Amino acid sequence: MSRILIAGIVVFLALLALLVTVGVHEEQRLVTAAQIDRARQIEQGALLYEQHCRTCHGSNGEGLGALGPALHDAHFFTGRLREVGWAGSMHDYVATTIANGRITATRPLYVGDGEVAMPPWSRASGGPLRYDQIEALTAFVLNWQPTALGEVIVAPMPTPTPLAVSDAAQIARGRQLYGEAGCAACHGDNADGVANVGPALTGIGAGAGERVPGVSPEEYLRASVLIPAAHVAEGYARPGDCAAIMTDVQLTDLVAYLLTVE
Amino acid sequence: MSREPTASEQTTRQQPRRSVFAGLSWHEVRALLRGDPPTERPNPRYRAHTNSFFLHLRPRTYPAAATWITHTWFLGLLAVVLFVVEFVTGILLMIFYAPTPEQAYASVIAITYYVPFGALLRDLHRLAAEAMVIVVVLHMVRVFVTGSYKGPRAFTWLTGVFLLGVTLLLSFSGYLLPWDQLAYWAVTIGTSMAQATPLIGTELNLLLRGASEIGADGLLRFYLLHVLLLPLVGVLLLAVHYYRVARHHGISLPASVEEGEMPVAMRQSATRKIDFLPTIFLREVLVTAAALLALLAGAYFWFDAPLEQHADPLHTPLNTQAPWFFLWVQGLLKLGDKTLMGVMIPLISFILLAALPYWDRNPVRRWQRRPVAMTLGLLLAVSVGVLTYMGTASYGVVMSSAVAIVEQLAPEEGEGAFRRLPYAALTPGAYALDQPLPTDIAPELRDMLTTFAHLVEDASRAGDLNQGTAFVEIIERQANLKAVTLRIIWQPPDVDTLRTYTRTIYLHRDRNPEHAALRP
Ligand code: HEC
Ligand code: HEC
Ligand code: HEM
Repeated sequence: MSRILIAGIVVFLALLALLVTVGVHEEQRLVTAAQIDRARQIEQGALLYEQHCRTCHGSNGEGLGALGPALHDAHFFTGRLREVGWAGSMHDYVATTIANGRITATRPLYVGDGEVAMPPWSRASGGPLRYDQIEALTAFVLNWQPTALGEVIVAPMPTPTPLAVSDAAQIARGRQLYGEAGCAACHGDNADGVANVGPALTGIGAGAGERVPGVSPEEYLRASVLIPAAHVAEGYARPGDCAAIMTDVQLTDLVAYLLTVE
Repeated sequence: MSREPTASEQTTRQQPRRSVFAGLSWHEVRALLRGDPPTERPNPRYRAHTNSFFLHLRPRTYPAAATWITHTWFLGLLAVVLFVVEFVTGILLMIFYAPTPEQAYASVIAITYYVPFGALLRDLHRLAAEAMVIVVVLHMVRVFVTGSYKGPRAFTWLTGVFLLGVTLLLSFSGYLLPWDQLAYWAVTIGTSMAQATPLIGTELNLLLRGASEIGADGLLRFYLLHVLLLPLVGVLLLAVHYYRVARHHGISLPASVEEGEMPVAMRQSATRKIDFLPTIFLREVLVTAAALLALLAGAYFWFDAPLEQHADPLHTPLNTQAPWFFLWVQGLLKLGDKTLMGVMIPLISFILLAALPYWDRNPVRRWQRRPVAMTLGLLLAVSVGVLTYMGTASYGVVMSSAVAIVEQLAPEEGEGAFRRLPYAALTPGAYALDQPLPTDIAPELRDMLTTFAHLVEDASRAGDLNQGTAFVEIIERQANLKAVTLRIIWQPPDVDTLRTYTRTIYLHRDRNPEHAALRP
């Protein structure tokens, strides 16, 4: 009997000790857990951004010409709320913008994909994303703040990403757009260049990845059309007058053509 | 002249305290807890069994041998303890959980990351649920082996099999509630079996899911099953089950005592009566406390209740599998027809199991003398084991090598080797793994890349990934956020273009608390 009693006391003391340990560490656990959850959201947001947003806002939030403004940007984090007269928090501004999109832009420069400046993303507004996904995207966008404000430096990385374009129909549409958008006037009918007017674009898909560190061939080509001043080809003193306003789908087709033109 | 107060006077004087302790004096309670003999005559401890509701459920005495650890292994008691733990933790979880597709996942996230002790609650609830399945099955095995289902205990066994059914269904219905990918697809597979029931399949499936796909209605139905109907049925069944054990036939004597030819003295000591108070009571308190300690330690130090990505009806995960305790059904399904294998065989096995005491009329209880029953039982156990193995997602399902390799290192769900690397070891760079690696990268990363290269090389040599080469790209995308891209390029012999498989995962420094430099 006394054996049971001793065992009982030991077990109860152990139980008590464990409960106290759990209790004492709970406050710290909650702090850690909140950080883990934020990290989880940022990771998820990064994946969603890659799928849904970079075609307008750029892979690194640098903005893409008339398609979408820069989000990885000091002004966005310091002056934007005042500019639009938003009284709430940055988090709410970003979350609301993503959820509801922008039918018309607050700045005439931005045409988005030509139909709406930025489509709504939340299910409530007819978009494809759930509430938790919008929260994750918000966490991801807000995580640009330290680098945008220069508090943290992220090393740029040369990333040669071979983009396999194989959709013949898409390339054909791109080829047609190339003519319609007036590119041929300066770059030649077959993109083989016009002396002193515009460089040949043949084979540019292979080399574009090496031009600027951290910029993929696809992005390099998009940027060349959207923001001609972004990159200037070798041998040219001034940026070419390549800018053309087109929808995002059109631009993707055109880039597919340029990536493959031989 | 002073005299000792009579027992009844004492009772009156100590009335308030005595009514709390089922009529026992404080003195007596102390003696009881220390395992001392009764302080009053007649033994007040027997009276407690009439005074107290909870004690009246328990027999006053047990024959010694019925309480041998090697006879019951405390498994029935442990099942009750786990059931109670499920009730308590379940009610606390209900405070924070919301059973709608819009809120369910978010509420489970909130419980895990933001509710004080919430993660522990979830871990406990899940761990105890899984333990309960195991304990109840073991309890059944012990009743089978000790031959305790025979004679007057036939109906007790029958209620027991239904209790096992309720236990499994409770676990299964709880599986859906977090509304993550794991939950959604496991339950989709599970309920699709209902569809295969002859005659009423479609109706049954509709009844469970509330629509052709699991959605808001299905979630609400599973929720109500889980928190209301099944616990209610479980408690009622347990009441019948235990009432029979306590009042009808008592716990069986070990067959060796009942049937064996024992020396008289040994027999006498095996059948002598032991009081519930204090002996059995103290022993049960000890076992309960030890079980709680093990459960709490398991939940706190070791077990993490799983939570995958939000349920996504449009994205079937690579590995969908039923909950582990139903894997044997999934294994059966791989053998053939859905109706026969998925519904009829489990149903018939259940009926045969429930009716076991009614068709096994052999009165002998010792397992050594029941070769047929033991062989059949062993056969059943082995088949369930083999079927469970066959039911796992990896068995008999061919995944393309490239996907399998990437899934192994950087899985869609769960951690995987790349996620386990310390954040700082992920040196940004582009690594072509068929070339010598740069010398200045972290050793952990070097090992990881070498593993990846070997996996692709092996598959290449085996002919799966002809001329396969692997690439890894690590880019710092944001403050404390890196993108890791895994790519395998190979040349299938029958086509002339190269094939590529690419997956990018994102890793945030703080995701892995062991590696993060967490500041409060
Ligand atoms: C079709 C192109 C397009 C897509 C796709 C797109 N956006 Fe936008 N976004 C825009 C445009 C254009 C604006 C600027 C509207 C304005 O000026 O009012 C904008 C504005 C924003 C703003 C506010 C910026 C500011 O300066 O006020 C945020 C935040 C934002 N987008 C986030 C996202 C996220 C996150 C996604 C992905 C789910 C996304 N966007 C997808 C075009 C797009
Ligand atoms: C008015 C003449 C002109 C038109 C029209 C024009 N471009 Fe250009 N483009 C140039 C010049 C000049 C350069 C070289 C300077 C530079 O890189 O900006 C150039 C450069 C480029 C480059 C970068 C080449 C490199 O090697 O970096 C691309 C890509 C390009 N243009 C695409 C286009 C597309 C697509 C169109 C049609 C929408 C177009 N351009 C229309 C003159 C033009
Ligand atoms: C929720 C599930 C269950 C609970 C809580 C439970 C509880 C108990 C308890 C407390 C006892 C007393 C003896 C002991 O501890 O072994 C008992 C005995 C018994 N149980 Fe269960 N039980 C459950 C499931 C089952 C199952 C699945 C079976 C068999 C299919 C079963 C068959 C029996 C039988 C036959 C006895 C009498 C054993 C004897 O007299 O030796 N029970 N049960």
